[in-house]
Amino acid sequence: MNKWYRLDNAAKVFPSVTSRRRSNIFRLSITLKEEVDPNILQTALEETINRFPSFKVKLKRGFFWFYFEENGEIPKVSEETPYVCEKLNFRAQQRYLFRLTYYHQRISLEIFHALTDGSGAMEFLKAIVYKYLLLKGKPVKPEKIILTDIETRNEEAQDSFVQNYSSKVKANRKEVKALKLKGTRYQQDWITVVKGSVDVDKLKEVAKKHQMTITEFIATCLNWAASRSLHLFEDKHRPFQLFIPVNMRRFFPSKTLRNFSLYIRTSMFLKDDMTFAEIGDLVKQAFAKQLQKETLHQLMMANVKIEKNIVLRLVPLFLKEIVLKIGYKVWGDSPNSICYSNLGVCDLPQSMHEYIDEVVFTNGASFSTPINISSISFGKKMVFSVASLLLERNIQRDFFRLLAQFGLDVLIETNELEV
Amino acid sequence: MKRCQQCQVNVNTERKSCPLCNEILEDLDQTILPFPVYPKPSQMPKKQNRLIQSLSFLSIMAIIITVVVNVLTFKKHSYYWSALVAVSVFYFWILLKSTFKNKGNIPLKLIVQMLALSATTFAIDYFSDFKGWALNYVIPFLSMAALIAIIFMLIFNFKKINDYLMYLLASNLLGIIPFILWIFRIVEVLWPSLAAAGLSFTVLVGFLVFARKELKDEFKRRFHV
Repeated sequence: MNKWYRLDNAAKVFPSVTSRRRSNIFRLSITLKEEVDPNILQTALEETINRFPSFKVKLKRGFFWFYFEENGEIPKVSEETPYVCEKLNFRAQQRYLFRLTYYHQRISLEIFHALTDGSGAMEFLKAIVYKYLLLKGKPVKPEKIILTDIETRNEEAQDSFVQNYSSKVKANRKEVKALKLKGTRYQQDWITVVKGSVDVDKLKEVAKKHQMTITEFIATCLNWAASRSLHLFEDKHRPFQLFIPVNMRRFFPSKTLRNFSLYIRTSMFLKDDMTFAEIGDLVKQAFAKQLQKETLHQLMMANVKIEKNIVLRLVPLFLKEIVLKIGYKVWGDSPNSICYSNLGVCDLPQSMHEYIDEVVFTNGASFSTPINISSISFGKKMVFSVASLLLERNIQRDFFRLLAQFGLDVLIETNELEV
Repeated sequence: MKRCQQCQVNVNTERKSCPLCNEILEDLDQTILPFPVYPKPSQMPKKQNRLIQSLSFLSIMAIIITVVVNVLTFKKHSYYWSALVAVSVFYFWILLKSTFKNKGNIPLKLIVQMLALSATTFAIDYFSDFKGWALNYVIPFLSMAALIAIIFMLIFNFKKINDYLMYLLASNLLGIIPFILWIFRIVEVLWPSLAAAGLSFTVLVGFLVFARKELKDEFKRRFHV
């Protein structure tokens, strides 16, 4: 009898709101220092997937909810296509909800958000790359960082949102509509990626000079960059809201490999003559107020309450999908102008460091948030990756120019979709 | 490596202008990239499928022409033969879109095929002289054929029982419908309907005997709240 899993609280909405223009896919890449051998990568994937039962699934329709069912097929690696974070065609992936690709020296995992969040997917990719290097005959060791066969798997498949449900915490969520980016889209919803890497120690230094953490500093930079391109936005009476996902494993002990992240937002009425310091103060205030266990717990309650609502639960799936689509428009889409997701430091075993060149995190853009910025650091390098549906590159330009003005050496690489 | 003096950033690219501001880039060293950082997209727009377009156009044209001719030549004792054309075209599209389109999920295809054929034969019967041959004979035999086909697939693929259960139950229920219609005297000939209902019932009992656990499990996941 094959296993099945309920979708976790955050995942429940994704299958219903996914379309060509909103793929809900993000990409994690690890670049090696030599060409990737597809055959060995295939073996590494086959040997790793069994260790991660919550990834070895296909999506199925129930009468009331979607659910995951164990997938008996063998997942196949493929060559990277030019289309970053394109909507997954499940059938082409043997019904798996991820795509493992290779391109010269790079191994990329593109994964559907219903399956897991950034940190869960990173564990999976790390294990695949570890196995790949091992099969290549490199002397690498797990060093208690790579998940190997001995750990408890049951905990990894748990829905930590529901587990932290407590009737004592009051549900609280307020959403305000935000400024929306308007621009010229690429044909066929292409996503352009502008990748900029900087030295992470220098960045930390600069952020410290402003008495900020890296995330606060980058959020300030992005708000500033947006304030110089206000002509790209419509509904100018609304506040500019930057959506920042937060890893809840920081606040609640959990080993889950499924979704367990929530978000905070900076919200401000931008003017084109605001100074960096002014914006910085507002960002710091927003972080201090929202980035707290109680506030996030209240937000979590609000989300879990919806799932626990008996009326909604008993509505058949096809009707529920309509409700979810409308709900997502109101609560999920409209409060966000752009999105900045920082995955922090990518923790890899020392023995693997010498084989790895770069780690990149790219969050696919969608029609509701046409620009998504994501970052991850490995070794000395922090890589920012700006995915965008728009031809206009004002925000990317001003953001990277600002980093350069702070004395950082920025190296830009793009997927060459010509402006 | 190249540099944009305007943006004060280094750029790793083959192109001559800055990807951020389109200013001309300055060459820092002469190293050539061994391959582009990302695979290059082809500039070709996706081709539209001319065959499907022509077929849709021809289908609509065929229906319009036959309806027009049917109406213009209609006399007291003639019948609506243009409806037969419309129904056949409709069936052709189901065949194209469901049965031949992609591989996979054969039990679902079988059920769609059975329903489509039932509807088509019933329509042909109804729009010609309505002797009831479709309801009396064709539809019960079609449902039996679908059920037997799915059972055979299951026998050779017993590991995939979870994928088959729901379709098997669905075709079971469909197999009973002709018999229910006989109770209401819509179907006149008993033996084909009774045979179909008997087969469905037998299969259902077979399930409760051989796959009760699987059935229970499948229900649990399909109907979890």
